[in-house]
Amino acid sequence: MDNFENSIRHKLDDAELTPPNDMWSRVEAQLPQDRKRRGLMWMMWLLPFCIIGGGIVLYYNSDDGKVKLAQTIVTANNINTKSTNNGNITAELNLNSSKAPVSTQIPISNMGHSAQPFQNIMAHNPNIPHTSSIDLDYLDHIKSMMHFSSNIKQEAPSKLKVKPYLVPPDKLPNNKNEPISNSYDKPCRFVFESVNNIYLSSRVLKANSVATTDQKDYVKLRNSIEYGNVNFSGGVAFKYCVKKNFMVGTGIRFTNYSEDLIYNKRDVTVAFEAPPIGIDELVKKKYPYTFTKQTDSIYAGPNYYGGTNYYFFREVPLTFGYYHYGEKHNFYVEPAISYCRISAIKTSLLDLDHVGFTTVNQIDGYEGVSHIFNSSIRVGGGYNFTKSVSFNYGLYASKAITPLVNYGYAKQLPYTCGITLGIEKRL
Amino acid sequence: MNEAEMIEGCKRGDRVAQHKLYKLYAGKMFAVCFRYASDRMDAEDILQEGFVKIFNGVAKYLPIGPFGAWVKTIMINTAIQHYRRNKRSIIDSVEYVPDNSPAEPGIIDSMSVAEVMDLVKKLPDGYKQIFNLYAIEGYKHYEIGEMLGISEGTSKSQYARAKKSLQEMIEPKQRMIEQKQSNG
Repeated sequence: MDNFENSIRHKLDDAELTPPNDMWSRVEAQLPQDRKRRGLMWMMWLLPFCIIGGGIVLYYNSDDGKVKLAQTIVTANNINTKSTNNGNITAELNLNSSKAPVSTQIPISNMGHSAQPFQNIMAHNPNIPHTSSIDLDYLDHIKSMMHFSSNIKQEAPSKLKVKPYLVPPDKLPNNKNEPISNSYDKPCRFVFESVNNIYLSSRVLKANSVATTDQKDYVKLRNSIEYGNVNFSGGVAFKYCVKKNFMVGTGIRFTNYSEDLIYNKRDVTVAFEAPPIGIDELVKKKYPYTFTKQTDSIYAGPNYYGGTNYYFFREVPLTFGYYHYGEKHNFYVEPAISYCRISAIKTSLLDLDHVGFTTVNQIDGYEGVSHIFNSSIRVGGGYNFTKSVSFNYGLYASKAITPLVNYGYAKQLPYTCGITLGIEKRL
Repeated sequence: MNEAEMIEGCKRGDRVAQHKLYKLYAGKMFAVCFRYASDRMDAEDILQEGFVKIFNGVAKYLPIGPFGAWVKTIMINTAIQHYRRNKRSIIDSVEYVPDNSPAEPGIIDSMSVAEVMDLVKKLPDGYKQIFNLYAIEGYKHYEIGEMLGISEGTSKSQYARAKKSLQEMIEPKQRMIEQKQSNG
């Protein structure tokens, strides 16, 4: 660079121009309102709960011939119910422990829709005596599920929406359920090895990473990648040879990258996910540690620039853990370390880095393959509604080291945390 | 309120701090945007977009480098992004352009800031980006290539053309001065 450039630089480097008067108001109009942003974040986190909740409601609303109970509203904390010879059901309500019991006789013929569940209980459960006081374990179950109003006649018919069903003791699982580890998002799943299953899960993740590059005179920041991920996956696992299973699944992934400080790039990816396909083996958590087989997964989907992103993940995990298998409740704590190799292909019609149609091998702006060494902990569990239906939950947190080389140097230290909820139906 | 306090305020989303920071940098940044933009309206759009990005991303700013440099980097990247979004590709050419004898640096010194800026503004858009990035911001050609999605060779040849254009624009003025000096 000669004196010519230096002279121009000297002239222009510190030059100032007066911006238009309304510029600040234009900028201000585009700045986010904090409350709105917080609202959106909450919505993102609430979404999977809504979906799971909706799924449960739909499931229990389905007319599948199972024994169902009406839901009513209640203030009572104690109930004694009697079935009398003349076909009436007597319900004694202790509104509060300090109050005297209130006894109500309700003719079945007068109960309208609310009588049906009680008839169903009796019809489907031979263990329930028809002519004496109902004093079974069922009653506890009924009480836990039901909420009684002090005015049964008025409330019951309109509250028939959530209908948990009862499982006779002989139908409850009598063997220890064993979670498998081949699920992509590692919820605590309780799959009997020989039973096919359908699994719907929802996951929200938040991952942050900061990378620095020593690219110029001062250290530039390449900061940061965030993504919220809502994943719905359904899977079918079935045994096609000894201890071999496979699972297929699709899901939707929403990825939002923000690399504001260098490229001001936002990369939104909505992608289908394919958890391990045909390669995985059910690994039963019988031992305190498991060196599982590698798992492969693929994300693919359109990106913001009119192209497609493909990410290929190969993970080799070594997990340790504590697992508790109960008939109803299951619980696990699973620390793990893993190595993950990610390669990616991005195509774009218009990319910030490449004008025109391009295909680049790129990981978050870096070319090449990314290697991640990850330490994580998962805590979760599940509740078996029945032998064939479970609700599973899990929390996940991880810290990764991602050595990358770009320009001078770059390193990423992403951390991720997330929650997984799932409902499972074994076929 | 000093700069550090303004930054902290901006991280909290404090409007007053944001306004103060805007006032502190708006003039300089508008000049930067103006150099890269094809016209004043373009420059205004870039400035607006750049400040929105700055306020949205200030929480991620780590005080490793000077804040002003960070702000300027975002403005420059916004300008490049704006240019690439709205325009045309730079012709990928590594054709050698002879570097004519440079203009007398004294002529630049004798010009006002507005005149020099006007000269740079007159450059065709593609040349202007490369000239700004190389001569004023001090980026290397391979960095410019990465930023603009062109090869290093293209950046070099386009820069040589830009410089030549500038020299041609300066030439009449230089001749006039030389004539005055010989007459005087």
